[in-house]
Amino acid sequence: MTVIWSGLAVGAVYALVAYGYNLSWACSGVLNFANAHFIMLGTFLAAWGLTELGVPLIVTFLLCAAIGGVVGLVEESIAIAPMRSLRLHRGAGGHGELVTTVGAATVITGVAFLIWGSDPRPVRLLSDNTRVHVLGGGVRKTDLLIIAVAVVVGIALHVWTRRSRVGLASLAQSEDRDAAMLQGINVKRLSSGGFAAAGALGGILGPIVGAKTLAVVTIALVLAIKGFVVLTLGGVGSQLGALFGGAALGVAEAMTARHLGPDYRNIAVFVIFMLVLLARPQGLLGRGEGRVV
Amino acid sequence: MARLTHRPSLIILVLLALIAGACGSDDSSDVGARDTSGTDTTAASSGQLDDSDPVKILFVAGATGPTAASVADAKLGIEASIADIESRGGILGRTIDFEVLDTGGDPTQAVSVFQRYLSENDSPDFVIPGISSAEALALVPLLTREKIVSMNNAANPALNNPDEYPYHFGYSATAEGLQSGLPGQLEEMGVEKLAVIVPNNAYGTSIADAVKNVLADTGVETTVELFNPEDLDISVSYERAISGHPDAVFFEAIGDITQRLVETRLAVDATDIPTIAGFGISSIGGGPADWADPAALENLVMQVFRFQVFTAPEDYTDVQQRFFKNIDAKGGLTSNVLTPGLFWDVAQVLAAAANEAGSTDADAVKDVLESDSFEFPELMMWTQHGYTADRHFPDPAPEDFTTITPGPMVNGMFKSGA
Repeated sequence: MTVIWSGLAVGAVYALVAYGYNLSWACSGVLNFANAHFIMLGTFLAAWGLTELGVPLIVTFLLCAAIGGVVGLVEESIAIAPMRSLRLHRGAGGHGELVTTVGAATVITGVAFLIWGSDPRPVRLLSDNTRVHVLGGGVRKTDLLIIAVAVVVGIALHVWTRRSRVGLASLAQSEDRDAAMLQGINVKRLSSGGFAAAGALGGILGPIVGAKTLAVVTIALVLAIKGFVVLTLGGVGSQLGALFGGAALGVAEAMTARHLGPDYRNIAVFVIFMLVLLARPQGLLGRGEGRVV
Repeated sequence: MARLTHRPSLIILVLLALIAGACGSDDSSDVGARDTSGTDTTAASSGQLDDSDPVKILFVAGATGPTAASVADAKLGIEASIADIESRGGILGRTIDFEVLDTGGDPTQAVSVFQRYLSENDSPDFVIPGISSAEALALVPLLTREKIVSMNNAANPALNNPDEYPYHFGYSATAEGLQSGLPGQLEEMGVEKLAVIVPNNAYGTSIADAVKNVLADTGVETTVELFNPEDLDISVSYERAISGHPDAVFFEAIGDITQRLVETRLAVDATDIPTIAGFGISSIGGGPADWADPAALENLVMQVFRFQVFTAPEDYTDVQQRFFKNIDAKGGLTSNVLTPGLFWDVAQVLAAAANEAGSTDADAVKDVLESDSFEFPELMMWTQHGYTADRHFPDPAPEDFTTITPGPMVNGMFKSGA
């Protein structure tokens, strides 16, 4: 059970990254490569606030959310909106945002490196981070917190998407942007809001994720890749899919590492990834679409 | 939305391709910072050298990019050392012209900027070829062709090849040399069964091989657990390593992985197992006492070089006095003493060898460095030092290494925590 707890904690981190991808995707139709970098930014802000300055927890969370939100908004204004405007005026196709969000990720990494350097920094979220025994397995309190946060945030985002006006508008936008515009949905504002919300979510999750991963610049790339795997595994647009995909991936990784060895961990991940996509191209909980023939 | 359900897998491939591309070479770097304070550099590039020309030391290293912080530390040590050498008469009575060629940390770039330098300037007298084995391996063939004596901290055994690279001398011990004190340490601890935990990369496997080699005839049973350095959680690997109930654990890594290893001791309840952390643990910030949960450091000692152990100013040796005096004059240490101390020594050894040879000629300096009779200056890093015609790497004494319980860093040196 200890191995399973370990896998669930790692899977929860992956799921938290995937939620941000889903959020920006639903609101703007763009998969934001820089999403994991919002979390990385949050980890550093948390290390700086909580560990180095002793800023109160709530203030640190608010600061992380605010800065993450602003960075998300700036990214949308600089890397997304101009591309769309260009496409609208020139009638060009393509997916330039895929490249510009990679650029935004590179810039965020570079800025973080300049400010905080390459040395990792601890994030002291819980004063007592001892190991406890739950359901026959040992798990640290930080890991339990991450798992709980992943479940709560996943369900909350799922309900928000399905029940709230903005959530439904984002679903409509992700299905058909032009049709959504004709229905009176302000897709520009939705896109800006989605990036700001994804940035704020990533920022506010930073202190929680950082308590496990430390604040380190290189973590963003690892999270970005595994977050995408989980996103695809669970089904793009499905927050519950991301939750289950993260859990499945994390546990599979941990069990493989424990019983076959760490070298087989990534092999197992991509075998599962390929098998799921072959059986369900839309992901575990993604929605398929009929095709007119 | 379903129209795009296949896109993420494509996106991952695109991302991986971009990452792979980013790992390649670039050609954006150029000749970097130049430090000529207090020296006359006008003669250095004027063609024929004479006795009044400064001795030229070139440092070809990543002054920008990922190695910038370490290169700044190394540069500080070299500059302090040069100030000390000049205050004591210089090299052959001449001043020293020190220049940094920026490689951006890219070995390919290192070769191209050095070739460009050679095409525009006279050959330097000495070259310090970067701070990594990758840079040194790229540069040393070219330095050999140009007959230029070089020395740096690169520990790759391939560089210890006097037949192929007669003018290159290493200053760091090999991985095996660094672990020469480990058998004695384990004997003191009464360890018969050791679990070794290292990342599955070139550095980790070289450390694992070194530990196995130095323990080969000691009767200590050694098991090695390799983990993926990119894993967010290495508790599973740690648990595998201690599942065989070892008497002690040895782990080694560089960077954030080291911190994860320390924290993982708490996650897997392994703080009751005596643990030796390799040299990498001291390279982060102010050492583990600065960043680790104190509970995670129980029963843990860290390997350090003897000269990294705190010495009060009143107990400084002569070389320590000169080192700290000149370092302080340059603004003081910004991290621990290891890198500045090592590169201080590099400049001191090159200067002493040239003075002994009476020339900066590569063959003359090489002969002196390989000679039994050459008396090396007092050094920060090694209590005994010497090269032979067959061995161009240090052969350190086990006494040059020790282990201490993590404590605060004071003046770049570590105080014992208990």
